[in-house]
Amino acid sequence: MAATADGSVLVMVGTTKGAFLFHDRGGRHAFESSGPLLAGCSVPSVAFDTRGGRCRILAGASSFFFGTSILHSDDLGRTWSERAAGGNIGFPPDTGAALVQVWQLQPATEAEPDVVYAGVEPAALFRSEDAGRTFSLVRGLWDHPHRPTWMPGNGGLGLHTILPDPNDPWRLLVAISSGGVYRTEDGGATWHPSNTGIRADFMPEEQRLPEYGQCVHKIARDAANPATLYLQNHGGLYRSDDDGKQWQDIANGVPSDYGFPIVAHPRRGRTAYIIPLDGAEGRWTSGGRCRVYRTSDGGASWAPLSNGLPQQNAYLTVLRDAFCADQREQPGLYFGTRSGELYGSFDDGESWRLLADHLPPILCVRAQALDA
Amino acid sequence: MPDAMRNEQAGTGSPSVPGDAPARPVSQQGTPEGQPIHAGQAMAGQRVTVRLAAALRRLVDNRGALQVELAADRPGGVTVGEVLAALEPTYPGVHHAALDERGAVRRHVNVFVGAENIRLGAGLATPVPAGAEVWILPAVSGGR
Repeated sequence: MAATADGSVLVMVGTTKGAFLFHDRGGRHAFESSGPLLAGCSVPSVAFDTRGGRCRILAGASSFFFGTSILHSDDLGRTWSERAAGGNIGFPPDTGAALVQVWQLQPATEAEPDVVYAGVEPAALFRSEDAGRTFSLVRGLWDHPHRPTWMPGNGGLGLHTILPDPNDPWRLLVAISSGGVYRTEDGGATWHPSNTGIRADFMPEEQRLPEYGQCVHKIARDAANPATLYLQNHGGLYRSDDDGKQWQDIANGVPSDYGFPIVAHPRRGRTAYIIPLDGAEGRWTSGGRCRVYRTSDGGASWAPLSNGLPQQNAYLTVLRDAFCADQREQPGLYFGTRSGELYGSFDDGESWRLLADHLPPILCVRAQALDA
Repeated sequence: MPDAMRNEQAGTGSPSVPGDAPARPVSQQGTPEGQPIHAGQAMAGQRVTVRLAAALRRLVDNRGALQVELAADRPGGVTVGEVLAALEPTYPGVHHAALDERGAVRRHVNVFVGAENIRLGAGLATPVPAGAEVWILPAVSGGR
């Protein structure tokens, strides 16, 4: 969707116990909340789909008891598709697999306005060709000989990142914890590991730069140069300038190279944001201080942004999909914590505001600018 | 459109159910009062009442019970797996809520035949005696 100077913003927050909507009525001064929606379900994935004239919200909803479906709403979350028709995503019987949850929902490019991808646990890619009503397994990745050797992380074995190439629907990049980055250039028929330069600190010393098996946490695509990618690893911060073929370390001046999300500025190149966490044991904001770090030079340097964020005794965790930007000319940045706080910034991260607290643990945050 | 991305539709097939030759469903439809609607020629069968947790009733017009009638072609009658499988064509939402795509009862769902939790018995092969009711309930868990 084109960036909008006017209009409002809708922020959807998926939690372990339902989802919440925050609707800005203009100016992003005050957000009106509604929810919980999809009560009784954890909602680890949300996407807005504004292609083809629609304004659809997609949500991966997992009932603790009754399974997982991908639901949609075409009226800004007031009503949702019902599960009476059964599951609309599931593994074919011959795979012997059963769906655990949907980690990622990603509409394809404008060239394929009815295609939506879903990344799931156990790690697999699904594709919808009817705008998210039904999904089918992408066999090329499922049948990859590496797949049986991928190892689950603490959160499970999930395919959590899907990056369509904005210029070529045959090219797609995905990331798996812990399988690493895989790329296809033939529309999903064949997939190749794409992890050159990415560390796997949890492997024996001589095997810490493997072909695959890394615990990649999140990847974001540069707004100005689509071949440039930024990657937050389970220990390691990287940039690629060739669509993921090679990765260079860019952990320059950050308190920790551990973290989950990484967000690219939606309009300005060489600009990205991270939230460093203390390493694999603490997994909370470094030093008990909640700071967002921003690079404006492709990772050559990073600047801390803390105004408005708690700087003492703040042991927060921000998960990989709980940080995002909206599409306004001056983009809003939003992140949610596992302790149920939602923060927003409307000046490129220079200052932050608490938009909501006392929510259930936040799993994902997505924001959509709405036309006036 | 990349053809390689076009694959078989997932999640639409009926899972296999353990046991011998499955009993043939005769009717799975019920009125709001729960009375079965008999389709086709009358034949000997076993009518089973399936009672639902409150959280599942919205999937079936807020009915608390469904009636399934199956042909019982062998001694011993039908199994609970056959009863649950017979829900799929008419009540796919209830079927999906109770069973995953492998045909296994979901981890945090309990199915009872009368007072017997099938996990503690023969699982989906648990027989459903004439007159017994099947319950689909959330387990005592959740809330993480």
